[in-house]
Amino acid sequence: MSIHWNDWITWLYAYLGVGLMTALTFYGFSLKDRPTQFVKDMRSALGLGKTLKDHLQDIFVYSIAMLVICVGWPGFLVWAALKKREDRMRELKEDEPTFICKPEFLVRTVSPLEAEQANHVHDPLGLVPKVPFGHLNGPWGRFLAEFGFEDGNELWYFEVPKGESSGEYDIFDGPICGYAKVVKGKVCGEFIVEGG
Amino acid sequence: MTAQASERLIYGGKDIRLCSNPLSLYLKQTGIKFESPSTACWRGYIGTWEIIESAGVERLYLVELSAHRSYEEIVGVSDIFPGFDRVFAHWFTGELRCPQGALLDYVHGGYSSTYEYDLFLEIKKGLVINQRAVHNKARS
Repeated sequence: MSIHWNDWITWLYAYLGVGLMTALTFYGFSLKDRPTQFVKDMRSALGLGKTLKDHLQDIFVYSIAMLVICVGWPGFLVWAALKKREDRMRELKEDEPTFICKPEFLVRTVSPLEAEQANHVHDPLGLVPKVPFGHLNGPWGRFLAEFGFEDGNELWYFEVPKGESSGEYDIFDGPICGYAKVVKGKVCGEFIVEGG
Repeated sequence: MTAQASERLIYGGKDIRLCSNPLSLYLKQTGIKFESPSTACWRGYIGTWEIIESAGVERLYLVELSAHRSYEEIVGVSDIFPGFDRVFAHWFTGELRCPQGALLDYVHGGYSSTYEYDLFLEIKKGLVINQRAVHNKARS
């Protein structure tokens, strides 16, 4: 039997064949997301198990989806690629560390020496170490160690007004100030000196 | 959420309730975390603070700590501030709220319950710079 590639019906079969392969592949992937037997049992115990109507509805929805993918698989592949990219971008954004210091809170650039000279803590009872930043000297040292003094990295003093904090720092409601590592205008690290 | 056990503040010789957590920033900066021993203390520790006057200036000090490194292991001030059994809280800037008097409205969460009076102490880098009292009324 020979294939007649100059026949349009051959091309149609080939097109639908690729579509069917695509649909089956994605159906295979969707099976991975099925609830486990444990979840199914839990749902049944809670009276939320699937009825015959639900099963028929699933079969109908899957059939329509397979048919649509078989016919319009190029569009489906583009949509799937865009969605994957969007999910990846969202994951990257969620993994990014959050900082209380936003660019609008940056006040001025300083050198580490200037920062240390401005943060000697005095206590008449002697209940603070006589080093820059007092009890926060250790965290300051770690901040500097991670700073990386390459060209383009800047140390900025920042001030966050009361009521402007956000994210994980909601535990602090007072005004907050400290030092930030800024690279090309983007805050990449921060060290908080005072807050409450 | 359950109402949270407050910190304690010794001020003017009195031992009063402190509904603020001045230790939070230090713990955040040092990466120290504690285990919660119960739903009434999610932060895992209770600190005792004291306002001590020296040369006309009042300062905030952490004088005692009972912190759960694990459910069984309890650590104190010198465990998280090596070499010190009391520390000057120079990192704290903000307002301390000290409720006093009768309980007017109980709220089953955080520090949200209302008491007769709230004493607010404004702190700047561990120094007391202002204070005010607010007389609360029960919600009708």
